[in-house]
Amino acid sequence: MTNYLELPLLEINKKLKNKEIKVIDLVNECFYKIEKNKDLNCFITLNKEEAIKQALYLDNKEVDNILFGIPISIKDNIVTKDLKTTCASLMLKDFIPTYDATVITKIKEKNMVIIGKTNMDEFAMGSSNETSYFGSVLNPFDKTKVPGGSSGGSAVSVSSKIVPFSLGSDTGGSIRQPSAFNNLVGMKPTYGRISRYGLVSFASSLDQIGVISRNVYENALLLNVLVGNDENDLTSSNKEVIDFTRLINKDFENKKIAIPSFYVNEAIDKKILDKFYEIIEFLKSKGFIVEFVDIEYIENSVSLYQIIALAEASSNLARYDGIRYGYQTNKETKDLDDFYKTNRQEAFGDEVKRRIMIGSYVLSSENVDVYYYKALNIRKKITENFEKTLKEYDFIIGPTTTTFPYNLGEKQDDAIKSFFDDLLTIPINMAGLPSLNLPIGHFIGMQIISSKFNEDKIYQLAHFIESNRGGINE
Amino acid sequence: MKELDEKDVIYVANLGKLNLDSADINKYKYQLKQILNEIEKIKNLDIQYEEIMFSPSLNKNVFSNLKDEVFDTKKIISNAKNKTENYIEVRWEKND
Repeated sequence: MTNYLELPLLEINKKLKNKEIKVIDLVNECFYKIEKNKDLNCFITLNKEEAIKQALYLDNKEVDNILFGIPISIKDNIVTKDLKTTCASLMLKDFIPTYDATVITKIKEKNMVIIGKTNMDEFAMGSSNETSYFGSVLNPFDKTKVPGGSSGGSAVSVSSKIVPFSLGSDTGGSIRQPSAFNNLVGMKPTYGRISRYGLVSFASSLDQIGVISRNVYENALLLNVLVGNDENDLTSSNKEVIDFTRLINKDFENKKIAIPSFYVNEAIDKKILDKFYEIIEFLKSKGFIVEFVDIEYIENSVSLYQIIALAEASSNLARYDGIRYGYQTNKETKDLDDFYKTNRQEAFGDEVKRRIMIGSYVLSSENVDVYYYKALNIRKKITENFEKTLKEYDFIIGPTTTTFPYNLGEKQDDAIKSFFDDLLTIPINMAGLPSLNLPIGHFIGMQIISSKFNEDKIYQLAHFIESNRGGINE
Repeated sequence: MKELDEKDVIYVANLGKLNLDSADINKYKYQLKQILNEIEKIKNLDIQYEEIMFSPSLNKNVFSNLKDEVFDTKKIISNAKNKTENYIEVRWEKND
């Protein structure tokens, strides 16, 4: 079998243009690798028939863009017309959407080939990919370990070299954390940068679609085609669409970097911190000014997330009652209310049920003031504190995770572990900032954060570190 | 308290439109309490701050500005052809 998909994107593009290879070769390579790596369980639904049909069609067309004919996998909470979208839940096991998400329309316009829908934590709730109705995903580097989540299947489809790209979603770290656990580049763009139309909602004020890729440059190339205002998403931004590769290999205008002292706290594994300190020394040696700062209230982000994300989730998931679509029980039920409740009891997994219950609780009667509004107060304050820091500094950096990938099943009965897995990534979603995971060691990632809509600057710094220290995937 | 009471678990399950069996209830007594303990921490924070943030979107909420001038219930009701108290009467058609 061929290994064209392991070549850099520019080289694949050149070979396609020169007719040295065909799109069908790439697609066949993907499905061969999927079969070979079946045990990883990173796909829920394959799009084999359509992908082959599209590849044969594209082989008679002119290669007109860098992403032409490139295979991509899609997290299974992004709706795809006529292709099952399950959210890794029994509730939507047989759900076939009637429309494409905006991001899907955009990648189809570029003639990328959708290979399949990737496994994930159920409704994107989790950080180990163990809450999926379709079973755990294995980490390809060590099959006894978790791949991270919730976009675990997406990350594994790239790290196991099946596809060069995957689309994921990030509500509290769901792109960055599995990217760190798979030695990949994962970008969570600014809230509003990419339309959320067609992303199955978990926590609408935190959810964001983003890109998982092998390296920084290719990540920026795909982000280029996904962004832009969308009238179907009122939170999508009107901000000018720029070329996100434009600052790569350019000189830095400013070189001031902040590290929140919380990002080097004692909960973080020492080996991760040591690797991170190496990066700090490297940056200092290249003339960057790196300083520690305090960002008040970020240590409270997990509590805020549990209140805000779960409140929004309980509301968003209220639509799954089994009446119009989704799972329906075979049991006899007393009345309509019992029918709803039984459907939900049988079709949602434990993690989802826990989160719905907590979300409903914090929104009930006086709890709205005690918990929900207070959390929104603190969220505003954290956001202002980040903005203040980013007025003085060009970047904020820190480790992505506190730990290395742990053993499958190790923390499954712990109701709060998934929240603490995202201890360092959640604050960024609270403030709606862009953040990228850059692999800096095996299973070790660092986050690069900047002001809203400064993804181009993030790619600039990430590429600078990647190319000067040797990208882990090169 | 290490666990929630059974009635508390049933109460929140009901809010979330979920039936639970006894095994579920036993499991959630402890697990929900674990999460609530974390949430409780924000109660102790002394924050003198009035502003809240629902969303990080920078887009202007055009609907909130329209609220007062457009959704005047009395004005809308006064324009209705048929009305009963604060409700607009409409014809009900049933397809058999």
